[in-house]
Amino acid sequence: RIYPLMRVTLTTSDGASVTVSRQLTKHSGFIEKAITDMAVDDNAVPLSAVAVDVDDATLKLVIEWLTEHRDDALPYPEKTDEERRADDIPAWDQAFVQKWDTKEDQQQTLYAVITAADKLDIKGLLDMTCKTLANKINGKTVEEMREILQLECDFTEEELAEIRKENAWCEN
Amino acid sequence: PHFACSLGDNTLWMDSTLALTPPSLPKCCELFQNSELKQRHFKFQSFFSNEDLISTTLPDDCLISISEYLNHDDLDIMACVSQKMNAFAKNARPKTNKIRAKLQLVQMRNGDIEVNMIRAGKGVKKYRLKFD
Repeated sequence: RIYPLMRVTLTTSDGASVTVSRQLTKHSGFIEKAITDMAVDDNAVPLSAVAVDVDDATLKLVIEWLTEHRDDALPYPEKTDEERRADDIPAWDQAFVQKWDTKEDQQQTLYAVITAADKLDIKGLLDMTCKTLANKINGKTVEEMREILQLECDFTEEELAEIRKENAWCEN
Repeated sequence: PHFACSLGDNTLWMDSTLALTPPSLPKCCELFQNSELKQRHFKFQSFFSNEDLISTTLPDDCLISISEYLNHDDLDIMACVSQKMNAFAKNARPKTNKIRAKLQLVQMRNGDIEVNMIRAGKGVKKYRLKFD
């Protein structure tokens, strides 16, 4: 049972404290588990601080997303392999990503939010941000993909040729 | 000889020979181990530079989730990016949406069948199916 009026104080990795409604934190599996483990009184307002391994700036973005999605159904619907698609991101979420996606450190912000969603176990946010990154990668060449993911090639020429040969079986 | 094994609040005493016997693998694991699906060994050790933001900030399960949104063509490309991404691409293949294709029988020649495979946005490929 969720008590919407109950408020939870979250302590970030850089020492800041943010108090939010339980209505928002119910979407986070990590925070819900922490609250359950505390076995607190229903009327405890505000609740004892829950430490989260997320910095203040990222947590603010997460809370902004949670505020918009506070009425989303729980549990988050699992999709089958056939239903899974990356082009169904809601308009608000697209605008949300676009807003901070234009910053100089856009890639790091996106990665920080993905990591925060993973740590806090917020399935909806994790799903949406993973789709966003998948859309960035979609249709890119190997070099472009390496640039986006900032990875270096750790194959030999022979290994790379072998992988390309394996993957080209259907094309040639 | 026996040894103690803690399981919650209980302590179980087990024959030490049991501890030295590796558990037998299910058939599917043996199949996996003996098949070509087993882990490929590359010459270089997998490495990630200081600039490698994705491996230092994104957990593997996020990368797996991202790879599951890619189609087979993107997974082909992803497999060539790095050793780690190669492993994730291989993992995502069974789950990713199949690319729809239409087979069109063209003609039969000397007992072989010639077909056209039409894929959206990919044009037409001709194949000859040989029969012994």
